[in-house]
Amino acid sequence: MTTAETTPQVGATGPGSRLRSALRYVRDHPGLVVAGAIIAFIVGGALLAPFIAPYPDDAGTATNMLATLLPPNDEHLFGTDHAGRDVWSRVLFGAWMSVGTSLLVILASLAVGVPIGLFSGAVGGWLDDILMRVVDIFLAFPSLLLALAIGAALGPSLQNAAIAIVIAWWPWYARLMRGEAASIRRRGFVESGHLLGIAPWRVTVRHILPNASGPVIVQASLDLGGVILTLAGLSFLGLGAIDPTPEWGLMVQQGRALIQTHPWVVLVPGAAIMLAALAFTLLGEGLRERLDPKGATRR
Amino acid sequence: MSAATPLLSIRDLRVEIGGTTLLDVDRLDVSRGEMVGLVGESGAGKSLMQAAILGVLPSHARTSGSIEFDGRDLLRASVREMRHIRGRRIAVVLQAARAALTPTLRAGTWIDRALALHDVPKQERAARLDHALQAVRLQPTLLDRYPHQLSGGEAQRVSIALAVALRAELVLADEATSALDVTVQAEVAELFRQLRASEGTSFLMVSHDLALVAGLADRINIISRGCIVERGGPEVLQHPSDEVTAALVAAKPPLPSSSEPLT
Repeated sequence: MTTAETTPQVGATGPGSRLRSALRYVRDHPGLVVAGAIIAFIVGGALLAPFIAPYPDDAGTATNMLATLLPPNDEHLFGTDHAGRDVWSRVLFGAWMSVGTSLLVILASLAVGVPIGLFSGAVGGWLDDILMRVVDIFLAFPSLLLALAIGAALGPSLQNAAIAIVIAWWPWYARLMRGEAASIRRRGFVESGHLLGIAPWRVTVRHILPNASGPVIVQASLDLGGVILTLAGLSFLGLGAIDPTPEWGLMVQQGRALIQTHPWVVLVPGAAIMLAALAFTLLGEGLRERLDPKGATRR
Repeated sequence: MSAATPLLSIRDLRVEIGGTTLLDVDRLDVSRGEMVGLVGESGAGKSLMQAAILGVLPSHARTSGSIEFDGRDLLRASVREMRHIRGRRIAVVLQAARAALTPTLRAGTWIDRALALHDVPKQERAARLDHALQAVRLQPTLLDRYPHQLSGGEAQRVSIALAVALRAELVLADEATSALDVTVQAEVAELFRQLRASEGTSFLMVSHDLALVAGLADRINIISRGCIVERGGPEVLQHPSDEVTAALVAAKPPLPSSSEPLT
């Protein structure tokens, strides 16, 4: 959004003050900084997995029955699983499977929910009533349960699990967006927009949408952690990714029976899930503070 | 554009909503460069009158009569046509000036977008903006601010600057100074006076504040229960012939004389 206040002022700044303003940023936004670091790590891992994973074949169909369930050692940083596959390599490849898929799920949910909610809230009247009753029907089911049912109906695969979550998830954004748009529709600047002769669709897209999107962006960011967990949950329950896809939830599920004897098989992907969910939750909280328009001037 | 025909000419305007006549105005004129006051207590029909002029009446409202603006009847103009008149030729300055600016847009961006919307070519916008800023005596640096960083008076100047930049012929000032403190009120009033002199802008000042309007307007219309009950120069205040005017002069609303509700 506003890059002006994150970049140090040019001119009156030497290297010292640049460092100082960076430190001040860290002090003022510890959550955002931690979240940024973890997310950079995860994204880096996801993108670079084919180059940095010590055993890239282990993310695929490879098995190594002579080296099953090895504890962490020099050759296998986080040990090996029941099929002798390097856990670290699989976790690295799993970053794309888990986080990347979750990101796509959120984006798809936003792409469906935001326009519906915006339209509903900005137009009002009976169309609003009908759309929101449809949303209510979706919201009447707990989203995990709904995703479970849809996932079961579609059959187990990572793609179907993602589709199931989108179907369960978009109504939340529609509802949130609708509430924001409906309240903003009555604000003075929307009226003055109409009085300035701006076409209604343009008022909706250019004036209502930007002012209503803050809470939705925050919620989407907070939800990313939840979607990662849900996706992992569906895989754990056997409705998501199937072996040998290196999906974190599936890896936890496969190591479930081994937790007391070979904990690394479960703990490493489990920690990855936890870190990712934590990072995106922190990011959401940080964004919540930043995106408040009245907070834009705070130094 | 002969001087004889008024810029805005309302004749026999009736507005009915749900079978009740809420507005019944036989005559209201605003000539070019004239400042006309429309004063009345709350619920008298001031807002409805503005909505009728701007073509933003509720869709179930029924109208008759005519509102001629520069020879064109606004009651019969298409939605599209109204959109070009609204804002560009008839500007509105609202009471809550800060709330009238979009919070996510800098003041300068807001003005620039409005100019672009009304087809002012890019190369002309800067010059128009400069001129408008001078006219309303606004620091150019304020254009980099977001609405919440402006004071109420500054925000009001931004709205007025837009009206100047768009070269609006008629400004509807809807309680434009009511939310401002007394010194800022006087500044904005002075600004209106100057704009009228320098740009030839016409004003329809809508307010419940008779004293303020009396200090500015050439002619004053007192509206009560949807009808104009008194009209004349500022001298009407000295010899009010109507009880509503008398009450407004005494700055207190009249007690309802019958059980009939005002709206």
